[in-house]
Order: sequence, then C-alpha cells, then structure tokens
Amino acid sequence: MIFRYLAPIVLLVLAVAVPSEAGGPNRIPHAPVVPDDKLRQLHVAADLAAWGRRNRDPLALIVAARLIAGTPLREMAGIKIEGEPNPEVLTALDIYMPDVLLGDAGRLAANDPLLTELIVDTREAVPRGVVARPVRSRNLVPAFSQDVFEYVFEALEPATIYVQGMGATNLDLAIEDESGNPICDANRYSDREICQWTPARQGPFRVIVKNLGPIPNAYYLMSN
Amino acid sequence: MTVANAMFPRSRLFVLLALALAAGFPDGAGAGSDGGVPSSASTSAGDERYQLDDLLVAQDLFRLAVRNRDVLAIVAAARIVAATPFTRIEDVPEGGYAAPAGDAAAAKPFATLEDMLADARRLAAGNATMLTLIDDIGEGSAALARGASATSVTGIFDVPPGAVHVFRRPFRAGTPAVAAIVADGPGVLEMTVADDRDRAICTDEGTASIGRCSWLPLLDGEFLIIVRNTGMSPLRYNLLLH
Repeated sequence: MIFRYLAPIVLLVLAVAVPSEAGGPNRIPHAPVVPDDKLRQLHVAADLAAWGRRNRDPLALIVAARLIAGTPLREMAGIKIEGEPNPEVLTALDIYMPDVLLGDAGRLAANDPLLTELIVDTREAVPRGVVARPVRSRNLVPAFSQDVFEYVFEALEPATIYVQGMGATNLDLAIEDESGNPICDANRYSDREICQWTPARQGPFRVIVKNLGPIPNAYYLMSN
Repeated sequence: MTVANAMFPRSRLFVLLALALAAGFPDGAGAGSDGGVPSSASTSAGDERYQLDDLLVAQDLFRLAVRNRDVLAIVAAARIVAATPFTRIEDVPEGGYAAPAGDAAAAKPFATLEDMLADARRLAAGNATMLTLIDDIGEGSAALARGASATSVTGIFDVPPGAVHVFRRPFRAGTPAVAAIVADGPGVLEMTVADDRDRAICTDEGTASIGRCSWLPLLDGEFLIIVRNTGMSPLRYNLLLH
C-alpha cells in the first residue's frame, strides 16, 4: 500500500536525476518493476505450459490454463513497421488457449480422477468474452529474420513487452529507444521473452523480435 | 546469448549457433498437431539446457502463487523443483559473507522444495484434494528428479546498500553459460558478468526480483559475476550458475 503512494515520488526523483533530452537512453535506471504485472503472470504461465508439455505433466497445464484464463487480453491490429506481413489466420498460437491446455491436460491425466476433477473445475471457471488490458497482436516471423514494431510509451509509467511464441524456434526480444540506445535484450533459449523498463520521457521505442531458427515461428506480441 | 571472451566474426557464429540451436529446439509446444501434446516424451529433467531456467520459472511461479494464495500453483512450482536437479555450492563472494544461518531461515530468496511444500500445506488448510497432491510430490520427488545436475545454487548472501560481491567461476568453452540472481524482492541488485580481463559481457540491472545473464564462452576461463546493490536498502539473494 505504501509502495503505491511512494512509487510515483521515487520515479519522479529518479527521472529528474537522469538526462531527459533525446540521446540519453530513454529508461530510468533501476526503477523497480511492478511485481503484480499481468504480463508477468502470462509469462510465468506460458513457461509453465512449456514445462508441462516437455515433462508431460497435466497439473502444470491445468495451472497454466488457470493463470492464462485469469489474464484476459484485447486483440490489437498489427503495428509491424519492418518484416513480412502477417497471415490472416495464425491458429498455431492456440496452444496457449486455456481450452487447448486443458484438452492436453486431459489426455495426459488419462483416468486420474483427481486431475480429471480439477480439469472440469477449471474449464467451468474459465471466463469467456472478457475484454481488458493488456493488448496483443498475432504475428509470424520468417526463418532467420526479424520483425520490428514501434510502440510509444509514456514517461514514468512502467512499460512491458512480452513475446510468446508457438515453440518452433528460439526467439529473442530487443528494445531500442528512438536514438537506437539499447533498452533491453532478452535472449533465453526460449521463445517466451519479456522486457520491462520505465521510460524517462514519453517517446517511441523499436521492438525487435528476432527468429534465430531455420523455420518460421508464430508469436503473440503483448504490451501493457 | 552473448558470445564472449575472444574476437570472432559474431555474425557468422550467430548463424551457426542459431542453426544448431533451432534444429534441436525441443520446446515444441506447437509440435503436437491441433495443439496436441508432443508424442515423444522429451523429458527435461535431465536436459541441462533447461535446468536453470526451469528453477527460475518455479521461483517466479511460487511467488505469484503465494501472493494469490493459490495452493495449486504452489504445487505446480514444487513439481518443477522436484523434477529439476541442482547442487548446492558453498562459494562465498569477495566482499561478502553468508547470511547468518538462523536468520536465513526467515527469508529465503530461493525457495526449496521443502519451503514450497510447507507453504502449500499451510495454505491448503486441510483441503483433502490439495493435501493428496502435496503428499504425492513429497513421496515422488526422488523419482521425479533424475539426470545429472549442471546447475548449482549458492547459499544466501546479504548485500548492504552500495556493497559489491564478486564471484569467480570457471566456465568451459563452447558450453552455454548462465548466471542468475534470485533476490528476496524487487530491488536494485545489479549483476554483471565479466571475463578475466574485466570486460563486461552482460549486465542485468535486476529491477525485478530475478536477474539473468547468459553467454557463450569461446575459451576455457574464469569469469567474474559481480553483484552490486545500487539501492538504498539491504537485499538478500541466492546466485544460480549453470
């Protein structure tokens, strides 16, 4: 509760302490990340889903479905400024739909009555048709290529960009400000990458999604 | 991933590495048609590439679950830790010292399987379904965790404001390396990885409670993992290495 009131003051002090003119990196160094961010929850859920599929663990898929269902998203038109245009339909990304996760969990749970009951409970609890922030767009990046997007973020408001691929290749995520200063470089051996920072001033950011693999990969790009 | 500790045409290496990695990219959540489960069991418990990141996912999930008082999510986090082998190392960094043992029990940045199961039991509050799931993990953890561990977790260290801790660790050429810090809360714990000539390879400002650096050493050698508290409050952390 205290953090809620102190955070804007702390950010303001930090913002004053860094150069505000274009040329200095457009991020406030060491600004704390808001811990209850919804995109962070999606990131954890997608990682959990990937772990569950790798390890054939139905419980992990059930929990991932619950977390994803609890974070409704609003679809957004593409804002790609470089890269191949997206196809109209990208069903490959449905692997993160709660219904699909629960279907997979059901196949893995086989006849386990306890897990079957949990799947039924979760399916009944999945909210439908809810529209809320954050937003996402569906995209496809060809092999050994990159997509570039432009986002504008407000000064002092924590910004989050999250990439969630379909698991075909390794995707990396990089953020640059309008002067080309690196803001974030997320490069796990994964196609689920997240960047969080607090801009020092309002401005555009280049969001670069790199496909390191020899085949295309479909992905959601999400932002707060 | 940063390629480090020698001059090398990075673009060429990047393509070669990408080919090698992508060809074997086993995450394949989408590999199952119609969103199905991959038909072949690609168990990750023994897959070294995922060990450290799986532990980080478990820590992230555990914190989220505790905040939401979500017992089932704690159980899921515990299952990941139970299935992911790691070893304890007793490294003490230059400039640092281990947190007092009694005190360390009060706040643990890196939650162990026992910590998770204890919290799950407390929050389950007698719910028979949840207790069954929790007991299943306790009984089956030895069977879940299999395969060699290349991930190590240090003890707990306290770092006062302005203090710097330096770990020196050897890493092997051509083997992807990862260092991560798990702090006891969001803060300003900065981690820098540098080579033996003190050239920075990666910096994570650590504004979240988990920071991570990965790189690919080109030569066998010692690397420095430098942990710096640039904030105003003391912080507590574990270091994970792979």
